[in-house]
Amino acid sequence: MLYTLAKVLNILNSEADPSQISLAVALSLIAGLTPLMSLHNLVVLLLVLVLRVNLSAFLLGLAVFSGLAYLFDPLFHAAGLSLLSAQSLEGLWTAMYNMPIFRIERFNNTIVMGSLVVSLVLFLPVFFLTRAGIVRYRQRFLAWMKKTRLAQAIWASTFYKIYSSLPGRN
Amino acid sequence: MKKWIRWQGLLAFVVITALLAFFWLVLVDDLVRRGIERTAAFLVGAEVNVDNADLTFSPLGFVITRIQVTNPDNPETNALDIRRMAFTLDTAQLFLRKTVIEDMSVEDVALGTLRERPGRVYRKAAEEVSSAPGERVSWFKVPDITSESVRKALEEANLQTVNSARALSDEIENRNKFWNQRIEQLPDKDRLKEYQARVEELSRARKGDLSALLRKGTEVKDLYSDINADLSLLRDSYRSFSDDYRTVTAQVNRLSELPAQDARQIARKYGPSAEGIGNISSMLFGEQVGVWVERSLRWHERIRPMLDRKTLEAEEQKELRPPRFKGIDMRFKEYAPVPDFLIRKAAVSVLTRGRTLAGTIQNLTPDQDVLGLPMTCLFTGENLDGIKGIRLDGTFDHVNPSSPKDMVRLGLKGYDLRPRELGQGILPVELQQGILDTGLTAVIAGRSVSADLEATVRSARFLVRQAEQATGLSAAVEKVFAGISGFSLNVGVSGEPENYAVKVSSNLDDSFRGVINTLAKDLTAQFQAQVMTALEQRVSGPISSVEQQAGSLGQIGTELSERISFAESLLKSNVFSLL
Repeated sequence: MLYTLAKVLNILNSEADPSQISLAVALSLIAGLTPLMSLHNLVVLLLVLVLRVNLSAFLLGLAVFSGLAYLFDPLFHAAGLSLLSAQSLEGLWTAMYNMPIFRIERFNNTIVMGSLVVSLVLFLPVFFLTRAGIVRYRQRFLAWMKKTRLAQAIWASTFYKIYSSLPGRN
Repeated sequence: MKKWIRWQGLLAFVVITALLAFFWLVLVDDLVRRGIERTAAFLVGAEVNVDNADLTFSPLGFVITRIQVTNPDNPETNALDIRRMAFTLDTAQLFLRKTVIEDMSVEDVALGTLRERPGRVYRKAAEEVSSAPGERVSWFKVPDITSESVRKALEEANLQTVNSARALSDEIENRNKFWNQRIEQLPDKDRLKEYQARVEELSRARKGDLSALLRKGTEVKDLYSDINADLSLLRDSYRSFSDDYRTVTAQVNRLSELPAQDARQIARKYGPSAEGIGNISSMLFGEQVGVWVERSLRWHERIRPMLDRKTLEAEEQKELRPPRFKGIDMRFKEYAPVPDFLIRKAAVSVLTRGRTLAGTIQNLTPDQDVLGLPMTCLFTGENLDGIKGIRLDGTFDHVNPSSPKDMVRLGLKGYDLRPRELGQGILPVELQQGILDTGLTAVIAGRSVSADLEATVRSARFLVRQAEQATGLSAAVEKVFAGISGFSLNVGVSGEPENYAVKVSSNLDDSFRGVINTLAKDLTAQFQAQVMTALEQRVSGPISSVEQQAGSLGQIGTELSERISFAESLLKSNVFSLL
């Protein structure tokens, strides 16, 4: 637990661009909430590797969102079912159902459809909110924190030793 | 822009993707092996083991070696043991998540081989079959004649003895009443004694004068007329009474014969009969036929998921996990519909009795309605060890899932029968040898089951053993069996899978008709004797009561007879002496 918290702080306190961190979190949202072995996650993996996003943030986000996905699966199932059962979309789904690429993607599975749509809808809000949060954290909270006695005490603690030992820390 | 692109990431992606593909290729054989084991076990309801599965690339397919399917009824053996199976897959259809196998070869299928260890059974036979055949069918029964069966027959029967005794009792009572009233009105002894007083008076008057004598002559004449008139009245009444009494006596006599008549009728109606006992062919083959029918129905239930998606999905539904983990795959209209799973043609070679039985199976799919074709199979073999020729063909038509029709025809020539026990324990008979020629047609259409089997057995030899429950049948039957060297057998099955009737007949029945009839006759005689004893106890009261009533009626006759005698003696000895 301490290790995870230290890792989060390490990412937040690094000199990485807030956009790179928040994009990594947004991408991990898709990979984490949707079934891992899906075709679209190959695209996510490509983006994560080719775009200069923070890999640590992605892996951490992936772990967190995968855990949350188990809790939200019934919700995703309900969302997917209502979308796939919608009369107005039947023509679209039928056309996709007859295309191999979408059959491999398993778009017709209620959980795949529900989780993918939910994660795509949340993608931009998560990206911008995370980015704004990181910027605000660095500008205000981190500067204030460094001056507090609590911070002084933490620097002298075991937690800080772990934090210090993490690779890539500035 | 350069700040955002990490070109070495592309290389990493290629490496990771290649590694994933490599691991998939390494693991796919095992995944397929496990997939086959799991799917086949789900369909059969028992453990399935696959030794090895190898992916081939050109053309894309698999070679699978040694598939063992546990027999759910006997887990120590395999229902099927396939040495090698190879098939190619339609690659284009794979991208649409369809498994279409154009050609499959299934080599060296053996039946009933021993397993190294007993296989696990997931679905018990008892869960699929409502009840064992023995519970539903009694092929041959020598009835027990018990006091309970006699009592029941007497209760159910309309006893003529009791009815007649009741009617006769009423009739005698009425006649008694009538004759008691009538006898009151007839001249009684007092009146006759008055005549005697008049005679005595006239006798005394004889000694007087002539005119008195003449007057007395007139009185004697009057007396004679009076006595004669009463006597005629008494005689007429006695004649009428005698007619009545004769009728009553005859009825009472008939009543005493009625118990025997009743016993005969009860024995005829409720007693053992040759038809009730059954026929020899049912006793010998009924049990075995019942087992075959049950086994066939059970296997039909097991293969149904392979033929019918509704049944498959119903079975899958039982094992469906909550949607949290898997979700539901929705289906949409396909522009060019293809079944999700299809084996277009499978060439199968079955090892049996040391030789190969070759056959083909076509259009194996649970989506026959999509394919528009029924599944068919045809197996033929000649000069197998102990079988001269065999032909098995079947059509499993579920193209219209609401009215499925499965039909199997089997032709067998020169089948060398191995020794087998027959006779259900009532009459343990062993068919020691025989050569069978048979034709079977079995149809399951919706909820209806029917089968028709015609068989002839040549060079037959029977051995009759002493029965556990001695029926007296054995000795007579043994003699008949000794003279039988061949027979024909007809079996008809009809009804529903849970409730069907099996009719077994054979020309053996003609040979044994005399024996069965004698047995039925002996048993009927025993039953009749017991009924007679019980009946006599039951009707002895009413009959003796009627006899007593008849006796009291007889007293009226005695009374009348006495009055007539008295009147006659008056007339003869006394009145005539006055003249």
